[in-house]
Amino acid sequence: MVATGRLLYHNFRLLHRVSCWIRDRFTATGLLILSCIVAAGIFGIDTRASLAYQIFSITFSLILISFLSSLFFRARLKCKRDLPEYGTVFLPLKYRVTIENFDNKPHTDLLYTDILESKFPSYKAFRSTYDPADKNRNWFDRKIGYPKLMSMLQRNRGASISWSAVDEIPAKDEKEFTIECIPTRRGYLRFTHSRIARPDPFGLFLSLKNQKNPEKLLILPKTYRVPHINLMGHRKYQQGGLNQASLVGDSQEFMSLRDYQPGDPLRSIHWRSYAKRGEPVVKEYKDEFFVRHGLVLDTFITGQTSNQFEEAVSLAASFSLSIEDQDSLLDLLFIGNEAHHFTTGRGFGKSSNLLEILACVTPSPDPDFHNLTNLIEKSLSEFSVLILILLDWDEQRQEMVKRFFSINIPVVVFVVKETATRLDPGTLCDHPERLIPLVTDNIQDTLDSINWSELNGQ
Amino acid sequence: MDNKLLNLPPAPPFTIAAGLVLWGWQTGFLIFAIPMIILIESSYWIKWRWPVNHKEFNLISDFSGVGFFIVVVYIFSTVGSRGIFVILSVMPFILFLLLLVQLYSEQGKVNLSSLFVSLRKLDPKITPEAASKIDISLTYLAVCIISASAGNNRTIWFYILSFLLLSVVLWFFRPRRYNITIWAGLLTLAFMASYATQEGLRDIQSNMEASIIGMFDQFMWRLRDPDRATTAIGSIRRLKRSDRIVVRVNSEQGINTPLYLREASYDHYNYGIWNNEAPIYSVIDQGLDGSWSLDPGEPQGTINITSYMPREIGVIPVPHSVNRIKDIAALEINTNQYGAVRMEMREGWINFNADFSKQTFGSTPGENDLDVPPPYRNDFDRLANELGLYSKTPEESLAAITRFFTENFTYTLDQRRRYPPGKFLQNFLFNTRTGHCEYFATSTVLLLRTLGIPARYAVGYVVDEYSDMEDSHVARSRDAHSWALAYVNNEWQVVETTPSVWAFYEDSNASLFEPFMDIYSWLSYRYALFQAQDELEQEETNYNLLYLLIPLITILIWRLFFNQKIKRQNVPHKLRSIRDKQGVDSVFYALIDKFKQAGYAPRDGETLVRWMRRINENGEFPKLEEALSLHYRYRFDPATDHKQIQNDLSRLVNAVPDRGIVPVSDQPLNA
Repeated sequence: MVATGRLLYHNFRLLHRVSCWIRDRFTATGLLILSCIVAAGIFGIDTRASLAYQIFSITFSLILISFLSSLFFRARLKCKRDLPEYGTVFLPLKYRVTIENFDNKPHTDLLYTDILESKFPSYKAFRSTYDPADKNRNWFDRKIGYPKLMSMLQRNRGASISWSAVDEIPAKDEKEFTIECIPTRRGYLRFTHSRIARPDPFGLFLSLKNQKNPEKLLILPKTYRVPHINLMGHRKYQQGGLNQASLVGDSQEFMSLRDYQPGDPLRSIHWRSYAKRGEPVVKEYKDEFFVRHGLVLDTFITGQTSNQFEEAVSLAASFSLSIEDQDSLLDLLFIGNEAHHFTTGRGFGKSSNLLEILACVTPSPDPDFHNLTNLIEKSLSEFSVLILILLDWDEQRQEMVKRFFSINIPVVVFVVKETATRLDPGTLCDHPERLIPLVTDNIQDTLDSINWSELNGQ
Repeated sequence: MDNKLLNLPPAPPFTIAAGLVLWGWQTGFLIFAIPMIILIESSYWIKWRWPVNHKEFNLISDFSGVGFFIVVVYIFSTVGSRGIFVILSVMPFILFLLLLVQLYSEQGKVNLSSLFVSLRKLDPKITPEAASKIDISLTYLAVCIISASAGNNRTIWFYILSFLLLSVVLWFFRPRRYNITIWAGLLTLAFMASYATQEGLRDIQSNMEASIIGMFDQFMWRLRDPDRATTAIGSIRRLKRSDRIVVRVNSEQGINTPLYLREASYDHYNYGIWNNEAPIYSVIDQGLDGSWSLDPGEPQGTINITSYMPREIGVIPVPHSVNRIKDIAALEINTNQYGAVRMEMREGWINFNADFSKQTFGSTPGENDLDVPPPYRNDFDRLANELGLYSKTPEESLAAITRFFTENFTYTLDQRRRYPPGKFLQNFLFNTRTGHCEYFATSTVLLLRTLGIPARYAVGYVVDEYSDMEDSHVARSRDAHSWALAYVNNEWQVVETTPSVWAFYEDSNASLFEPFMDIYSWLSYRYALFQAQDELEQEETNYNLLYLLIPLITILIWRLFFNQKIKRQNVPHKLRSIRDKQGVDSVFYALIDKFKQAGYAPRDGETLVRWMRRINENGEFPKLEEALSLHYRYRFDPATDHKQIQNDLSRLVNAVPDRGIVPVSDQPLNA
């Protein structure tokens, strides 16, 4: 069975190469003629039974002449990309490309595309990866696995950049045009080559010119709309001291007004605003006391799907953007190859830095909750609120959450699941509203339906 | 961007109409093609469009798919495996509705996911193909052209029109960066290349078939079905058989060659296949002396035959007049009424003695022996009339038929021209007048039957080669032959109408490796004898030879290349022993020498008949043609009274006046 699987895998690899070669080199009409060759070749195998062999001869000769004439493509062209700083998953990404013509003649009917690095999945990855799209595929495709392999390859590549037609490039001049593609995963898109194609006189076969043009572009995770999480957490003394307090918190220098949070001194209440709004409003001063959010991302995906993990990352990215506006700090903690702890907020990195980190976070196949717990506990005393984004709600995770609860830190737990299942609050039995299950297919709907006021204890 | 290089463009105006006309003309659906054309081409003028949503496209696509499935099931169940071309020919019907809906839809294109169900559930964000749309009009045109080819209406116009149609399509979509001269030049090149390719493909198929048959022949030559023989009549190829030695014959009384060893006879012919409609096999009882008596006639002589049994049961080659099989430990021997002798023994080489008498073995004629299948009756009736055979006696008819074929026909293993099924023999008889032994034998049998003379088609081997190395007569796979049997004067007679050049022709196909194959064959044969020692005591095999294979091979190679011991007996070389050649003492040769001395040398490739006819162009030698006919009978007919013929021949040859043979140099220049 393993041997059959390996054989299939290697055949798929070969098939993919052949298919790439064909798709790269044939125009749409060329592909139709190629299909005619195959069909006429099958029906014309017996030259006495039908005249299909004559169609085979005609189409084959046309392709052959096209192929031979494509060998004479001489052009001195230089391509330059103008990439944006970031892209976002599943949002159209536009960038400009300039082709410079050094020849003394104009070039017309050209096509352009960018080649992205795409590592072919290993056999082990092919066998072990679950593709969520499989549920929409038929039995044969699921069993054989070729569509899954192509889907993995597409994910590795990160985006599909199709050919773009280039109008005439005048002699000794340049032409600028825009390319649009849709990134399909976060992380870096690695451009390796710029490719220019020229059709043959029949318009069937493309002669290609590849120009090395390595560049990379970071694709940020997608984000959801999440409101401001303001749990009944207390402001904590931050070790940054006055240096930090000049940027965050409430020092003696008035900064602004904000909503009352439990623990704010009564002297800080701005009575005039309180009278006007009916709700307590406090004056904010620069001080070494301020709110600090801990955002913990569970990267242990054993038994879970990559889709689940992607949604968890997206959720983390959403919170990091949401908290940016607050007068607080945000700490992102997760275990990758090693323990990671990043802080953003005034005086630290921007939330965009956090997004960059989240764009590159990878799942960790070996669950190491001990290490994660230690990492969190090191800074636990500084956190006002702890937001945990988990991939499961098993005993180990419950135990971890129990430890944080025991030291009286407000905790909210998001559990991202592939399918809707009812979760037992377990250690969160006193605050079942703090355990929020999310299903990958409708995370936004679930987030919209949460009563955040109740969650914030207001 | 909707670029014609990246997305399939719509078919240019009127090209689908042209494609449908081509399809209708080829497949006979022209009456249906016309309304289809009107509906399709009207879409260019009628601006009315129908809102068709995604689901409706899916529905129409599914409907076409189900229709296709039903058509496939129905056609395969009614026509069988050849129905694949019927299915191909109706494809434009199946896709027509989908094209029509596309043309008259507001959308103007079909969702790719409508065509491929597997794409329907996929997320377009991840699989962009799931959301893409295509124009199927150009694909429909391609389907029309390929479907047209299923009509198999063999005319050069199909090729030319198909090429023109594709050229028109390419013209519309050509990149503008090239000038027209380059485009036209390349198109001309493509036309020539495609014409050569399609011609080459036909030849490749013919050659491959010949090779496969050759390979089949190489390994399966020993299998002979006594009740069915598929001929190569109508096959377009060059026949090629192997050089493998398949039969060995010895006789103390000497052998008159060519010796016809029959394996089977057949009485019914239709479209290239000879068979026996009602064969009846009867088991022969073994006599007390261990022999199997097939016929009560008095034995005239005995020959020893070695043949190969591919299976435990198989037909064995025996003379026509065989009446007893002996000296073999067979389990069972049975025969059918057509003279085939089937033996049950064991696989491998077998050796037996066959007594023969004067009477040809086989049943008296039945109704089938006079049957000429309807497709051939008119042709053979016409031929019989042309030759004036209806007024002749059976003996005269036999002579006239033999003369007709030997004088007017040539032997070839190549068949290059194509004819409609059922017309192969007609073209052989009236047009090409070239063919191999199966054409000659089949035509002879059917012509004899037309005249009311019972006749059968016989197959087997003609033994005509003597091997010094083996000290026996041998027949190779390529010596397999077919001939006619005619029931005249209450006995079956061999009627050989294949020009005598056939053996020379076959020899010309001998492989360069034939000597080595002979050595291998001989060694394997000796080894087989060694294995079957208990049956072959009379062979007095020297088993020590087996331990001396290496020096023996060396000696044989030395003999082969330096002493040239292995020679074809039927090639007129000096080493041929006179005693083994029937009719070489014909007095006609003296006449030939006279003509040669007089300067009437035959031209290259000129047959004896044509040569003599050229010499006798002015009718100076009235008896020459008759003498030549007798010479052939004396030379090749084993069943004739040789002394009588030699006397008649001498009389005719002597009647040719010496004075009439004027040396060429003495003839007037204007002669």
